[in-house]
Amino acid sequence: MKMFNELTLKNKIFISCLGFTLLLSILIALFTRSLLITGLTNELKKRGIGIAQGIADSSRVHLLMKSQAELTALAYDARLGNRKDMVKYLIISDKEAHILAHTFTTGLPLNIEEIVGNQNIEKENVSSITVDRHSVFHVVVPVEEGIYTIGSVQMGLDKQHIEELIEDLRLVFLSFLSLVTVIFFFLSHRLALHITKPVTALIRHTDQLSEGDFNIISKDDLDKMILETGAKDDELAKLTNSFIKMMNRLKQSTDRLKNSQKKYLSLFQSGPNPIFVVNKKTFEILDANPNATKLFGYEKEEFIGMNLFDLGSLDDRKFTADYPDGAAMVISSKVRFHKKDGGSVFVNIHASPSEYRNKDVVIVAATDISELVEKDSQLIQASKMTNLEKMSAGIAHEINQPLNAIKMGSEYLSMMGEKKRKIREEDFQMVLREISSQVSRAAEIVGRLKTFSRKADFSREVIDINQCIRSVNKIIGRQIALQNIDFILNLDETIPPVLAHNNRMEQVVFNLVTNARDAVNERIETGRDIQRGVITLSTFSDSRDVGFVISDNGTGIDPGVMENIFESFYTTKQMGEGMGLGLPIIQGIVRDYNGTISVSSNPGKGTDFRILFPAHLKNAME
Amino acid sequence: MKILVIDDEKPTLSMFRLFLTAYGYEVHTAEDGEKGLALFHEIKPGIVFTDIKMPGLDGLEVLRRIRKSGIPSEVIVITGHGDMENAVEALDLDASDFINKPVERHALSSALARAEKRRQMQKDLVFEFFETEKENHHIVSLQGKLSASARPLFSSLFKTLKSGNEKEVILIFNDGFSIDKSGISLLMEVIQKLKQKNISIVMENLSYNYLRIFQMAGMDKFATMKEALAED
Repeated sequence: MKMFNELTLKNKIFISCLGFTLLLSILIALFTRSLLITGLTNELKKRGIGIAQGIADSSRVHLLMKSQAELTALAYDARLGNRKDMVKYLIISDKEAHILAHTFTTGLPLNIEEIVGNQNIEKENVSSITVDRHSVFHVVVPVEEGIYTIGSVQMGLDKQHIEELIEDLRLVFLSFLSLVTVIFFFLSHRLALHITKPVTALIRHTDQLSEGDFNIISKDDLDKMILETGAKDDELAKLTNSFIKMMNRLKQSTDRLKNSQKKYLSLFQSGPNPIFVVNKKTFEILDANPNATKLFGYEKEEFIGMNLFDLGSLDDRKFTADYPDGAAMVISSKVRFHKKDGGSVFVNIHASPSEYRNKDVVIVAATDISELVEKDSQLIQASKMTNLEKMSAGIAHEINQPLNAIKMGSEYLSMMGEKKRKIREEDFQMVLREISSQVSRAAEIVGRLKTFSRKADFSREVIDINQCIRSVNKIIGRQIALQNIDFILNLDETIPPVLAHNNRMEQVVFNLVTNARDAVNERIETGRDIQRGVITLSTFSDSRDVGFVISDNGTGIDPGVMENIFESFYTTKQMGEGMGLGLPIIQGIVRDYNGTISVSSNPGKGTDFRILFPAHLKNAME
Repeated sequence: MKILVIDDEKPTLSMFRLFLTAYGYEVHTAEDGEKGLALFHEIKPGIVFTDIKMPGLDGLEVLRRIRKSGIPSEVIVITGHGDMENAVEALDLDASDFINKPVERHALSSALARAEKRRQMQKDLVFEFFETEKENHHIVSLQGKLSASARPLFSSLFKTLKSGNEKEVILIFNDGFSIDKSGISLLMEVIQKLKQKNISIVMENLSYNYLRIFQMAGMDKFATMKEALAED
């Protein structure tokens, strides 16, 4: 069976057909033969009986007469003509089994008298015996006169004669079987060929396909394939057609795949963004597009093998997180990446998982947003300056205070000197001390302003929110007090630090405080409510977040405009008083540091702004 | 003489104390409006210096309440440098004078001198002017409070100038002269009209602070201003 399975389809069909035919032929031959032999033997027996009865009829008178000569003549009659081949011998005996006539020419065989005597002569019967080394059918037919049996005719039918007949038949049969076998041999060969030829052709074409020669198959080739397989309307034709259809489909989809590959390759090669192919586990760079080499200044060869994290500080946990199905995910925004020449660029990182040369990879697009970040910081700066401008009168007042003390102190000294009046030693010391300390005070104010108005770049440091709030308080706390507004700080000194930038954070606090102050002043100026203005700034933290709430008892925000307050250029202030960029910029800064800003307001009663940042915990750093 | 200084800045108070003591005054200081007013009622000082910008009761409110109390006192308001808006508002509230921060010795002595002089004079002087002719110069000396109510009187100034012979008008501001916001615009009007007639104007004996207010108002484009000399 194993050997059969290893054969080709053609041989399988051939051998199966041939085997089946042979088996069938042999079965038919055996069946026919057994049928024929039985039939022939019976026929022979019947014929023998018929001959014997004829002899018996004719021999009745002679038997009664016991005329042996007549009987012997009759016996020989039985062997006349072609009966001679069939009838081996004929014996006529009386009822006491005495042989009266026989056809043995060379004397009676040894046991014949015993055989004749043993036969039941009352009834016709046939038995198979051997006489003189010949197998014969011994036929017994009684000779009757009225109701008495007067003798018998016993006859030997030669078995050899039947066997000779059968032998002839067998020869004819074998010749016939051989002829059939030969015919079937050719037929099954043809059949096998007929079935397997198109299959072979299909196989050949499939082989070509699997070698990737899609393009060498033209329409002509396909026609030739149909022709070669001789396909018309049978299953093979259908198979061939299906195959051709499939091949066309395959060709189309391969073409499409090639096109899309081309498309993606050109996207990768000439897309505006630097793109990296990064190993998903090790973050090793496997490929980088020309824009990546252009932006970062590394050659492609230098990139390959580098770790993505060598380029900038990224959070690897975000890369290993689950990606939304088939979509790119923003990993981080405004990440500082380092160029080869030491310069830095800000990028937005998008990642999407993929496969590349049978490896699990992440396609990382690093969009250069340096210009955007720069513009952003310019805008933030402009907003800060606008705020400072509004505060300028207050700031001037504040600087004027130490200047006044210095001026008066020094003028006092010069006046006393001019008038040659004696200055008391303690007064002199006091004036000098005061001048010195007021110079420091003025310098501190100037320094704070300088720090505050300095243009900050986008970076993240570990900072203390309380510190920022105190700085802002130093800049505008006094001015708020001068406007008869209580500025209350409830600072929780145990809050963890956050990752942000001092200057930007100060700006957020500063803007919110000045907004609160404006809201309080607006209420006092426009309303009959002369309740004293209060601005409260509290810091707090929970397990994950650090934040502060700034509450005022100002005009509050109308519910109708609540959803607009974070929109750029939306302002309720009069023309020239505000650009409507304060809150959008605050929101932008807060979001840059992964914070959130929320607001709740009670019109006429006040507003709470709540800012939350993720805490920068030490164990998170490790 | 008793003098009260109200300012929320301790160093400023210390310096005022030194200066004013040197000038021979009995100096009292207060750090905010409430304390200042209480002290004012207690000691009834002849001269009060008060800062305008203060938490709580501000300088203008202190001034308002002092005037309301009816206790006669020369109130000099201390304003921030260049803060003319507040200065003029203070003048409207009948402040005697104002002084700029940083306080200059010269301005301080001038303000003190004027305050002293005004204390000697009759309170609430009505505005009046006296004209004299001298070598083609028309000399007008002004005194009293120049405010909106003085408009009819001040306009009569032009009647005497009808001849058109005069080439120069000299305005002399006496020590008893004071002015408020509407007075400033009235004065500005007069000066512009004179200038249109091609008459040159000289303003003399201007106090240090009035000189600066008038400069702010833009009068220096039409008139020559001369400051009053003050002794320390």
